[in-house]
Amino acid sequence: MFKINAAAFTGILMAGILLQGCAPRKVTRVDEKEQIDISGRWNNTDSRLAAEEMTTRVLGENWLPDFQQQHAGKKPVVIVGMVSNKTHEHIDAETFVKDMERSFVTTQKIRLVQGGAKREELRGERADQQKNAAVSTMKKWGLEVGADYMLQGSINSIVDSHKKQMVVYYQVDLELTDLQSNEVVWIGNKKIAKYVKN
Amino acid sequence: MKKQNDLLKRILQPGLATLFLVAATTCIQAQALLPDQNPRYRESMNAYLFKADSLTRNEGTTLQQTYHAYQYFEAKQALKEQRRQWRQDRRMARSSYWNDYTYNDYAVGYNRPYGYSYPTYGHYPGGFRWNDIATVTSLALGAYILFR
Repeated sequence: MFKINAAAFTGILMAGILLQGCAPRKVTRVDEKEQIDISGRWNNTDSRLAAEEMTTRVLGENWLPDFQQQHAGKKPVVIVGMVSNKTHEHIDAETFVKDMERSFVTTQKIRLVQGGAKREELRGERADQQKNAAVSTMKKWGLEVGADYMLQGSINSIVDSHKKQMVVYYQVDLELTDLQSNEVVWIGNKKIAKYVKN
Repeated sequence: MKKQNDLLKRILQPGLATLFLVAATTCIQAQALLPDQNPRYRESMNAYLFKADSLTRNEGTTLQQTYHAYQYFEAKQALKEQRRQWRQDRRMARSSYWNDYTYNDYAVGYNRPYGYSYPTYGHYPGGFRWNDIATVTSLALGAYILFR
């Protein structure tokens, strides 16, 4: 019969506790475009899909040639406004909005002006230059480029769950509004539905 | 007569100047109005000029207005966690109640007002915890020594 003494028993117990504390963690780099779904929540793949869809649509739809036709080939100037996250998860829209902004700048079809906290910082620096910079390099007030359109949006979700099954639906809506007339000239949306089975 | 003229001058001159200014401003405003532009646009403009800073502060950010969605497994897990917490709270309360009841407390207890209840066996000293490694180890060792 298998026999074990008290010291051995304690030793095995302590070794078990120690081993549990030192469980190895493995981390590997993966391609950013690789689809890895773990929990079923909003993830990098969703953000990328939203960015791709929105970028293709905003650069390819009629509002852009229409504007250029009305303004003698001038490029529209866009400022990014606020995006409301009305879903059940914490989502930062900056991940896909920044991709869109990047496409505006790289394709040079749309001009982009800074807004919000970053614009405040820029104005602060300009104010500082009025006292500290050489006059020849000092930037002047009142020469900022005024935006023609503001990009605003919202993210919504619907959750349907019962026992081991769950369907999550996300809808990302972005819209461009004319700052002069409040006319909405473009609406883009990306719909993502996920079926999660536990 | 001269006095009357002076008085008229004193009253009329500022009055005329004000009238002229008002007329000039109205005229300039009327001229500055674009075709089809609302003549009362300044009322709105003045109202928004004061709050422009607060209205543009959140540009480029995400406003979090999240809601709590019911998810079966999360709800189940939360309930389990809640029960564990309640058990832990009960245990802690029991433990602190007995531990505070030292010799000195007994001395004080004699002078306590009527209605003071002494701890019963239901509130047995709460030093024992199942999740305590030392307790589990000592129990296991005890069982081993007893039944070997």
